[in-house]
Amino acid sequence: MIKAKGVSVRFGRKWVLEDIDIQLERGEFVVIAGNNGAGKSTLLRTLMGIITPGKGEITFESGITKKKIGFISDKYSLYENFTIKQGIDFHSRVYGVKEFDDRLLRHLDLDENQKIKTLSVGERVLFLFSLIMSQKPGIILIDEILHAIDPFLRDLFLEYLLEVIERYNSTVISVNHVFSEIETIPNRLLIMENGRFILNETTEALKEKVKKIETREEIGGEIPILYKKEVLDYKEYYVYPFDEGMRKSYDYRYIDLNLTEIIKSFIGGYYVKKRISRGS
Amino acid sequence: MLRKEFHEVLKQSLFYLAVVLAIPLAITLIYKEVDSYFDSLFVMLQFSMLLFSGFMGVSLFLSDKNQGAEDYMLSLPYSRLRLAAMKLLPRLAVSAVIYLFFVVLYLWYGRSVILDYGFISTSVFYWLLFFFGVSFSAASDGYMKTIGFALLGLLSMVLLVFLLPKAVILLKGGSPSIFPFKMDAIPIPHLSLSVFLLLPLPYFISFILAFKKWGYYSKANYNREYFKFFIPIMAVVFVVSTVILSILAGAENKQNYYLTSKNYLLKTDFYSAKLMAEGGEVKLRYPHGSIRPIYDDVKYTYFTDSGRDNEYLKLLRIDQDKFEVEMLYEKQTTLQPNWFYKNNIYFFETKIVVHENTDDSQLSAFVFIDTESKAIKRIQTRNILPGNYHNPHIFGANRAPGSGKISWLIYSEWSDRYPLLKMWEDGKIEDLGILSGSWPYYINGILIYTFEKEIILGKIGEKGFEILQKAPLEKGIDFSAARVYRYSRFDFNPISTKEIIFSKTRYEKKDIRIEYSRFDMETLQFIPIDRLTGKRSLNLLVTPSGAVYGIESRREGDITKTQDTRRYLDKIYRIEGEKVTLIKEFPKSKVMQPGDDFWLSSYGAVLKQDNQVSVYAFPDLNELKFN
Repeated sequence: MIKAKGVSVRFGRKWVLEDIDIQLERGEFVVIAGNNGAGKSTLLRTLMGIITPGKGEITFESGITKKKIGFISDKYSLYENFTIKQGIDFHSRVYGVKEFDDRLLRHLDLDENQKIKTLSVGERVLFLFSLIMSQKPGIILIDEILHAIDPFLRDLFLEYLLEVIERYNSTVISVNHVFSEIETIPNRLLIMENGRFILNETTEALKEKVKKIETREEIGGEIPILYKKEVLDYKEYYVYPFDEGMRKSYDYRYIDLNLTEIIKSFIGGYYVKKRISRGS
Repeated sequence: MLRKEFHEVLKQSLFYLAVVLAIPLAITLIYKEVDSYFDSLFVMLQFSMLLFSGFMGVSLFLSDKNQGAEDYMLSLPYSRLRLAAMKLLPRLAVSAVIYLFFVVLYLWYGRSVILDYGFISTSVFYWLLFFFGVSFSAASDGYMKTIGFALLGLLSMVLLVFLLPKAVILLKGGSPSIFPFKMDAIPIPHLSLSVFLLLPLPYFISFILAFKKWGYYSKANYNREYFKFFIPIMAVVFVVSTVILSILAGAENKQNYYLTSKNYLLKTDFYSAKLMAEGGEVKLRYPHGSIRPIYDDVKYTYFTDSGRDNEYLKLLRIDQDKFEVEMLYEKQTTLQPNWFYKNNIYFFETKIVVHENTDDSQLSAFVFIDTESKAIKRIQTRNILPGNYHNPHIFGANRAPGSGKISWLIYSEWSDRYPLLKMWEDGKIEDLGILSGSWPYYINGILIYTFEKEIILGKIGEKGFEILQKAPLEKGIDFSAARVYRYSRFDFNPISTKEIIFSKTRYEKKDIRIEYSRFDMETLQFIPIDRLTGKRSLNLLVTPSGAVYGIESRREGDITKTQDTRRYLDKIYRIEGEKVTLIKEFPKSKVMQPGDDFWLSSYGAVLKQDNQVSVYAFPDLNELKFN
């Protein structure tokens, strides 16, 4: 569906994306996580065509043009001076939408003559998603918007998102930090660090590979520790990659983790490494 | 998208027009002068449209930015080029309409009230500001910064416009230093000024290419890409413009030629001067073309260089053995007018006198230059000449037999009121007590002048002037032909007293007849030279050896248009006493064209016709080959 090979992006002298290789299939729901400044939003913009990579190439499955790609940026970007009606008309003309899907908007009870700039963040996100839904998108790119909208609208958004995925077999790439509502949805998790992927796994496999050990003991180098945290007199060790053989070799209690905790452990590990490299 | 852009731009334009129409109306109402409405309207429009065009340009992407629609706009299903075109087209259309409004208003009403910078300047800057606004519209996020970038870009282009003539001058072998910031520094046809319109292109093309390649998400990245394109494109455009202009400049680049005493050919054009030997080898280059050769001795060619606009004045000489240029003297440029005419520099043996003649007689001076020691002495004329001595000229020089000191003879243009003077090099002046009714001559130590219908010959000695002979002056005698003896060099080899030639002009009904006569200084007789008599006036040339040549030439074309006139050298005669011998008859031009001309020096003639240059050297006018 979408393939990026060797994609690198430079801002000034700094490479913010380096050698990104990614291949996503139709209907996949991919979450990209990572510390702040890892390059997640840049990657989405590069996939969208807003940013031109300095190296590498991005290809889409035949039949997927820009008209079939929807992008909800972290800036909720729209022509604010438009009214809702003007926004819908404009988007429909540009994307060749014959019939606008207003089901999502009906939940919000908006006046079609009100300006987009008067909408709240959540309303704007849903309005933008309505426009994207009308495109019958093959690919949807979502950049860190879930945490910005209230739980009710978030649920609404996710409900229609899943419907779109099911109806159009869309591929979704979402940059996220909050996963509680979407814990079970993503197929794959990609974690970025310093412009590169450090992890590219299915969520199923990842849950098997990342475990937590809680102990008062100090664990040595025999177990691959991703991240360590001290909680009162307990220590939490995040183990990756875990394999079943460890249960026999090391007598600890290995705790299963959810997606949020898995991501936290990777991001935590990044900050630890950063501290170590700075000598603190 | 196009509809949206048109809609947005139309709103902005209507607002602008409303302001432009309303403010003059308010002024008119307040000041109750109905007639002044259109005055105010036109002035308001002429000034404000420059701001409008700049705004139209820079707002290409800023309006999206200000609405928070950057990501949305760049994610639309259009190629970047199409996106740029859809944004540019409405702005271009609206700018054209506003401009048309200005043109109509100007033609109908505005000619008398247009601001100082005029219609052409307004038009040029209007469109330049628009295109520079567009070219820098993606360079920054804010309006003020973007406008700042655009103005800087425009300033850089203005700088290049001034550098372009300098580059042309360099290419032509000239020195660009003497043309500081003059747009008319090079002789080019007006149409070629359109070459300057190439210069804004790199700015615009770089914008298109940088936007196409990068978009403008990161301004630093965009600007880096912009300059990556801009620098090579501008280098190419600048070089191409320089070459085109230098070719076009060639069309109006008039050359002049001068044959030196050692038979080198000095070729000057607008840009530089070259000294060439037979065969065409360039022996010397001088990086200024505005030079004027004035005199040669055996070794040196003396010339003046006064810059293109008389911004400086120098007297120099070329050493024809070492092929070096040496400066002898530089005039104070504060003195006006800044010109050296041939007859303001006088040569005698190793001495030169420069008459610094200015509008302010208080500042005029004689400058004595010794070409051997290079010593210079300047004496203001007001300190040595009698009060109100009008427009002094030096007409001769002499070395005193006893002391060996050199003196110079001076007469006034009002010589019938002011006596002839003798001036020594220390500035001491002697009044010769002679009033001359016409231009006097000093030839072979003999002073010849006229007074009250008599020709008088005399000698200037230690004790003053001694009359040798007098004779009645025949009516109609015109001493003008003898002007050849009034050139600036006073130490030609002695010439025969029988070879001084005067002319007489007779007016016969509708015809003019010119008679030439030799003046015998011993018998004081005028002896006609029948062979030279005719309708056509003859120019005379005396060589340093004392040989006299008669020059027959003609002018073709419309003499009121200098670029159209052509001069042709027809014949040269050698005049030896009674004998007039045709030395050379020059071939006729096959295709007469502007630029055909000839140049004479004491050493030969140079002809340019049919795009060929031919050089002939005295005494026999054998052809020298310089190709």
